[in-house]
Amino acid sequence: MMETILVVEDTKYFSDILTDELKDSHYNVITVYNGASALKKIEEKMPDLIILDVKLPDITGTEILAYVRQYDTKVPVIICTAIPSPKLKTYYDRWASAVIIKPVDLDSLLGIVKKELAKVK
Amino acid sequence: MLSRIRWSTLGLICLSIILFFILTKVLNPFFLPRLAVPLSIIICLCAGTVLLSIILRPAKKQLINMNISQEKYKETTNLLELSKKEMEEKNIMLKQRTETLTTLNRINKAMISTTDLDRILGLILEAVQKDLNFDRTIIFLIENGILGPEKGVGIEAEALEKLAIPMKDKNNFVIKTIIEAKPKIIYSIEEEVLPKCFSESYKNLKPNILAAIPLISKDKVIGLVLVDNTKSQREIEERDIRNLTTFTNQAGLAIDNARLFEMEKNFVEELKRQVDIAKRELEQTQAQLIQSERLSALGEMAAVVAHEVRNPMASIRASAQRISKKIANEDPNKKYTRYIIEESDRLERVVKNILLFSGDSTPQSVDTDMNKLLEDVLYFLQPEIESSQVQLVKMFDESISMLKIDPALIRQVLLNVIQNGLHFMVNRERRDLKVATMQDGTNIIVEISDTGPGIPEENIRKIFDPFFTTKPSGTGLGLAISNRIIEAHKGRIEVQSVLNYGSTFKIILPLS
Repeated sequence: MMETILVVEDTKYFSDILTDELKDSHYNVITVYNGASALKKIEEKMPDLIILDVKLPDITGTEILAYVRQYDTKVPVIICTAIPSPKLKTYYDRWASAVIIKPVDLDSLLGIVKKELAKVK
Repeated sequence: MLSRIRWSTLGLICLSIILFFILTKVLNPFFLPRLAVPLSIIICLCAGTVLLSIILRPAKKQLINMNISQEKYKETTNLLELSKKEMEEKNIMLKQRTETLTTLNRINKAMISTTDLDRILGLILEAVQKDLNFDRTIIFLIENGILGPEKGVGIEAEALEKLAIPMKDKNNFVIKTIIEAKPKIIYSIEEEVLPKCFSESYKNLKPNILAAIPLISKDKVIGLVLVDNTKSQREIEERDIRNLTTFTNQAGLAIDNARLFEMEKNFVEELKRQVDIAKRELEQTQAQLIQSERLSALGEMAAVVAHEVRNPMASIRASAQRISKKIANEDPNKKYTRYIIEESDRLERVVKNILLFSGDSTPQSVDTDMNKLLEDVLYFLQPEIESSQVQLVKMFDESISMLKIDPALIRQVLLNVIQNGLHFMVNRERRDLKVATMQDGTNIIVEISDTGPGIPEENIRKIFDPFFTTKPSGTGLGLAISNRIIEAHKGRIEVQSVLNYGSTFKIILPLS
């Protein structure tokens, strides 16, 4: 059964690339461009993994992470950001599975996705 | 008087002859002529004697008086002689005194005209020597609880230096003189204690050839003049001391004034120095403030730029990567995707450096073994070192203490500095890289030396400025970041460079 990955990314091009790359690697990908849609998708059904941009048009990726962790402490959440805030480092260390900084190497990202999914299996 | 006596005696003789004739005539009828003559003679003699004694009584008195007068005369003559002598002596003394006063006046004038302590001491010694001619004269001054020999005549400088006496040694005669504040001639050597340091310079002592005269200013003893005649063995007299005191009274004041002036001069100089330091510090603070303002502006800008650059960069790089995957390796266009990826990475490095430079680089300090950290860095750089055929010399002091530093940040500094060294040694004939560690008290020092072309004088101060680079592909941030990291660790980087010879970077990190 194909694992579902929720990609929350407001940059259209980058989310497109990510979606294509993940699809090429045989994942079921749901792509949303803002926090509200992300929360809606999470409420509908918790995905197997979430790739989360921090800076979104409505709410932040950190808030989405907090929301997710209320219901599920296990689902892997990969934070993908241009500038990681030093203030949030301990928070991410505790609650996020990994933090990757843009520009990302697609192969590294796929490696992390695979590893995180394997952990929860 | 004498003539009176003479006449009286003559008259008396005449009177006796007349009386004799009268008596012989008178007595003749009563006595036999044989008896009358001697009887007359006897009576005459008796009468003459009585009369003579009556006549001579005033003469005797006169004679006694005359004797007394004569003695008085002698006495007066003697007295006169004495007075004359005394006057002559006084004249000599007066002459001496005048000379002393003239010298003193000259010295005073000279002393007033100068505030140079050494010159004043010289003048005093010159005057004492000229006027009193002792074998040796030494001026001591009290400073910081020590009576130190300041200047002397008749003594070698080397011997003079040894004569310092601690003020707490109160049993020796020198310090005693200071405490008593009275001039002192050493009458008895046995009764007085000599300072220990005097044993060499004051041999052959005998009574009355050594004297100490305190130097007094404003009722306070400020030093002492020590005079002696150990060579000539000529005794020092009270008069010498009196004369010397005339000098010392003035000298004390002059020395004190000179010292005050010197103190004031020093104080002014110190004040000036402190003002200079304060000014420099202020300038530094100002420069730092400007720098930190620049940096904070840079920091804000960096965050925006990083975000705005990294997001499109993420799309560019990932797109190139996607295309690269779809293009066959043989396709000649594949290399363009590689170019995009590599150039994206280069841009990313710039962004990362700017962020690191402007961002919060508060070190996360942990105990770190500097030698081990250096080994790690050198291991990481090994391929580069080998490919550029650089001779690596490691001189690690294994006994250095553990350092509380942020290893990730310091690693970056070491990488930056060593990579710079390697970069500038390319195309050099000699390619030696020396990496040494050492401990200097409370600092750990990492010394990185290369045999590159060296840094021109005009660039030395600029190498830590952000965006200053001489490398064609440099960002100009490597050393700027390194410097900031080391500063954040309360350390510093020192650079020494000789053109065409090489450069040495000293990274100095405090242990605490």
